[in-house]
Amino acid sequence: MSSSDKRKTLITGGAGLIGSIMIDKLSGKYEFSSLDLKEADGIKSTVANLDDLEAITPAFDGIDTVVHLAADRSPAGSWDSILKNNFVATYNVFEASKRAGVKRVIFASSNHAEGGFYLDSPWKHVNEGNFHLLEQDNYELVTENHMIRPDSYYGVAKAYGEALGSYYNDYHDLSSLHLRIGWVLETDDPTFSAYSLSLWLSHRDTAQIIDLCIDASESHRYDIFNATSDNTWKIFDISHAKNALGYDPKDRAGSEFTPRPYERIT
Amino acid sequence: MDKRKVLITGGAGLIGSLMIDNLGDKYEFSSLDLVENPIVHSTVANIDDFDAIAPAFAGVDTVIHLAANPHPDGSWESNLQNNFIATYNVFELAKQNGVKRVIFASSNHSEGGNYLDAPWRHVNEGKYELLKQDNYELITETHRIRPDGYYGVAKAYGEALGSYYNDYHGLNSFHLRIGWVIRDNDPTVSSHGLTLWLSHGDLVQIMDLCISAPESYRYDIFNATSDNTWKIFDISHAKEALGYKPQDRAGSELRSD
Repeated sequence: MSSSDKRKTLITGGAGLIGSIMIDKLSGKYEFSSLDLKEADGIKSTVANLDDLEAITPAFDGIDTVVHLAADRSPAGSWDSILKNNFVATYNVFEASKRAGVKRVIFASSNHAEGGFYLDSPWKHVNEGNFHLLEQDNYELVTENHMIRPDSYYGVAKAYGEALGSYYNDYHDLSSLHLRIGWVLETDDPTFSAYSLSLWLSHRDTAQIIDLCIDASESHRYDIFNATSDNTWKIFDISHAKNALGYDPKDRAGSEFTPRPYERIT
Repeated sequence: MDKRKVLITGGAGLIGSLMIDNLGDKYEFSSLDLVENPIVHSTVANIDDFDAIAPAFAGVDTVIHLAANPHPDGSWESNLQNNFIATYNVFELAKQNGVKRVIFASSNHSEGGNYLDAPWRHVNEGKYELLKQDNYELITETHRIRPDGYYGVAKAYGEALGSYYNDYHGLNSFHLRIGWVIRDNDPTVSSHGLTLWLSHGDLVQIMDLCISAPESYRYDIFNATSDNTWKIFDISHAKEALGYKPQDRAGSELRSD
């Protein structure tokens, strides 16, 4: 396949962790470009703030697929920051995509859209590492059909992005797939807390499930998928992604961890 | 007994006026709106202005949040200001003032995308001959979110925001996916009106039930229409969980004019 035939895929937040994983693992298959506050190494980059619709518009020209990752990524982000960087920015991405004739937006939603469930059993036990209170593979998991239950403004903004995507699909012919991403770790090592053992989405499973979303047939118009690796102690049911996308996770966190703080490298 | 203090955002509008007229003996209402409601204590301010509206929340037990750009096809910019930011302001001020419960006027428009598909499309278009009465799927509160405009997206957002404030700030919230409250209370204007009608009397009843539900009842979402013949939305959850007993029922016939 010549480079010009490769699907043109714009990554918002292309200079971040997930963007870097995608560029590293999928550049042979897709023609990536980045829209971020800084340049992404090795690919065409537009440097602009996503809260500025006019400034980001040129980045969408000629694009087939948008992977929307850019946001205030802090689950504890303030209302003012989330309003600008997550609410307004996500509208800008869907609207710019519609105007440019993009076929599909893949939205990095989050487990935080459902994080309120960690307050209740059995998910509280998973989250706190009280595995002895649970029978493995024999407790209820949170599916994509559970009610929306965010744990923060960040989580509310993720639920909003899913709703906005549904509207653009139904009324503006812009397909959207929404990944409720667990936790992608710079170290790719989840053995520091029960929380990370449950939510881990490994680098290669990240690349796989995003690849499947980019590649899914155009007739797959709208969907929401829980996205973690095939971890031993789950909170989220990943069977929908397996059944509907063919997701075949290669990694599996176990039960053992050594408590230590998680520090971002960047 | 002291009457419960209830602040209505949008208290000068149609729904607010119906509540004040019909429930004024039971609750001590106040209004927050762009114009004064001459019957009750009123704060005149725009709800996108956090500092200007803050005093209206002092000493309030329950907030009924109705104020919004009410147009289902309102622009993004207007929805951002009047529906997104305003609803945050209402929840945050309710929290800061120790309000016990917010009742949020959500809307059928958070699920209006479903009208694109059968069988609900047939109901909405009045093609009753294509349906078997009481024998087709209805939309429950557990269907996935499927809005038909920025307005509907903002309503879904309000429900999510309310869940967060309940779980993390001790502020409980009920969310009514209101069908259509019609000024002249006559749903025979269209098949859309026949299915979505929430009569004035039934509106007052379901609001009353939400205000007076026990404090232990923390969070819920209810479809809210009258007991119409050709439904899109299942109202059995409000009947079972709140004791809602709708007294009105739209039929199948439209008015002739």
